[in-house]
Amino acid sequence: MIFNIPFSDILFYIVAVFMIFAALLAVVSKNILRNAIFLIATFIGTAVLYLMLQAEFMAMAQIMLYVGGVVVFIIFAILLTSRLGEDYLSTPKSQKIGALFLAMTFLAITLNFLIQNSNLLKNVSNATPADSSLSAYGIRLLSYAPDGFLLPFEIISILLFMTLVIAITIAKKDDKEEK
Amino acid sequence: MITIFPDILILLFPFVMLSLKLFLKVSLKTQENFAVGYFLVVFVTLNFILLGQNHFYLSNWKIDSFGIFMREIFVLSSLLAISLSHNYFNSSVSLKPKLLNFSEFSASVGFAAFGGIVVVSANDLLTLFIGLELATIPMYALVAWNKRDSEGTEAAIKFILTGSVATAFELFGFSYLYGFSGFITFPEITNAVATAQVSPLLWISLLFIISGIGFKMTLFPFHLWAPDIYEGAPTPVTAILSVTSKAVAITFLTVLVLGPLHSVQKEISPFLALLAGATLFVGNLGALSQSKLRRFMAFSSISQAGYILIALLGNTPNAKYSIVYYLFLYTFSNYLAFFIFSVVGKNQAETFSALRGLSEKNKFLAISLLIALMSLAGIPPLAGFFGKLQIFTTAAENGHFFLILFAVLNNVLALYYYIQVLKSAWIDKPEKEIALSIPTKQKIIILILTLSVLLLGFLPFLSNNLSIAFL
Repeated sequence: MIFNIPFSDILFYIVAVFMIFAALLAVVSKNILRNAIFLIATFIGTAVLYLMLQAEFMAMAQIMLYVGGVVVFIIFAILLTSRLGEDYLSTPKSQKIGALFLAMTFLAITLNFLIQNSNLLKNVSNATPADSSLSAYGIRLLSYAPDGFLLPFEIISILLFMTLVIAITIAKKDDKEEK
Repeated sequence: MITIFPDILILLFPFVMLSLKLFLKVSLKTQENFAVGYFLVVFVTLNFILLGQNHFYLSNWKIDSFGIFMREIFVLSSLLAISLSHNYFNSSVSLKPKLLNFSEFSASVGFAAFGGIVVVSANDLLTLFIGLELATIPMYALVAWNKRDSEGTEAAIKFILTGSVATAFELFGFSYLYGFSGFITFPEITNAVATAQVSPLLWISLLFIISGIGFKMTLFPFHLWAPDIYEGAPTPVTAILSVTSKAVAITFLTVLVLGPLHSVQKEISPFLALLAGATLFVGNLGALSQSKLRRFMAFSSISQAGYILIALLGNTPNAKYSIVYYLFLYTFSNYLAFFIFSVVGKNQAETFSALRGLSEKNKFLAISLLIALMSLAGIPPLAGFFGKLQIFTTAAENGHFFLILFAVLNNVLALYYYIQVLKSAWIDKPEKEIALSIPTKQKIIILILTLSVLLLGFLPFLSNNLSIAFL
């Protein structure tokens, strides 16, 4: 009976089908601008899945970083590059077949793993909504306990600083005095 | 407390160098002397750390003997690279405009060294990955440092495009490793791998991780970027690429293969052996037909990467021992060769014909070149021979005799092209006279490096230290 299925399951399948179609269109569509738009649709679908898993922070980060940042950046790059958005892309048939073969291999291996470890599908995670709340994230990011992320968090700030310094050095005009 | 001290010093180095230029506005000469002195102090401090102990800072910052030796290699390589760059910042070398922005240059070198330290100290996948990026991203900029040289810019664009694809591969591999084990910290991954043994997810993960790191280490199917980029980059940067970059990549593989993936080492070693053999052979074949010195060094370092990879087939203490040992000797021999090439190529392009008549013009340089290249080829009394011997002994422990035989046969091939270079230097007559002058500083460094390559193999300093730490 359809009425016995919880609403969240129905929602999941709707989102999943939507995501699969959007992902397929993002790959198949020949116009690079459309590819980018369908990519946004896929990312929003992922964000909805995170919301359904009660990971609000992840959902927010997904939309802010990928939809708001990365893809908008791609679209800007496409629109600012002359004629890149107008041409139709074409891929050789041999590449298409190769890509299909690789993708199918991965699908087969992943399905094989999931069937062998079917308890993964049934196990309910014992994480509570509080674990994925914003404050829990903040505390873990700055904790130096064995499962904390203080070190990578701080090293990323160094990485970003370094990238800024070298990018400016490479991009700037050289001073006259040094010549 | 002294254990963490060198790390903090290296982390501070770029900031100090940048403020020297920004706030104190000191001259180029002072900056150079300061940078060299700073790295010397760090190197000496590293030698005061007691070996054979494990320390953890902030729960996840691991400092063990292997880490301390790798730190020494990174610091040594940065020190030598900064000394090598001296000429390139003060005058135009090998017909290319002189380099600018020394303080940012040395800051990038310092950041790359710190990246290597992060890789060797990491205790989870996230830190490991960020460390690798911290060591790689400065390289992209360093290759393009000579903005007025279009070859360098072209090389940098090639490098950054192919390099980011490799990074994506690695990250994808990590995501499978995380999905397979459910954790990103090494102790938990070790447990998960030990209980599950080889599963298809682990194989996918390994495939992607090795493809990604294979690019950075210039292993066989992913090595084609190296010759172009080594040729386009300024010579000091080529030297850093061939030593620091390669050392970081092998550290990364060592940390993974002898760490969390230790229990499946037997299963992946045929795969690694195949990669090592192919890399050796392809590097040697490529080097046979080169006429430009840096391109030649690119292929030579590809084949050296193959040799280092052989060490990963051994058991834990010996494998780490021989990797560190080989890297030390490789650093000395490689930098010696680059120092000589940079002196020879001062007023002309760095090609084989630039070396002609070297033995008549300057016996000292010609003998040093002989020692450097014979050491790279692995001729007995020199350092390179002991490094190779150690690696083969390690691999023999686990019965990889066929690979060792193949590697030894390849050595004969390698000897041929190293002798080709020496033939240019010792036998061929020069086409036109170009004056050769060595600054005193360069002369001293070349002398020190020559003595190290000559003596380190059988003097007990290095091997004694290593045996205290590992055996």
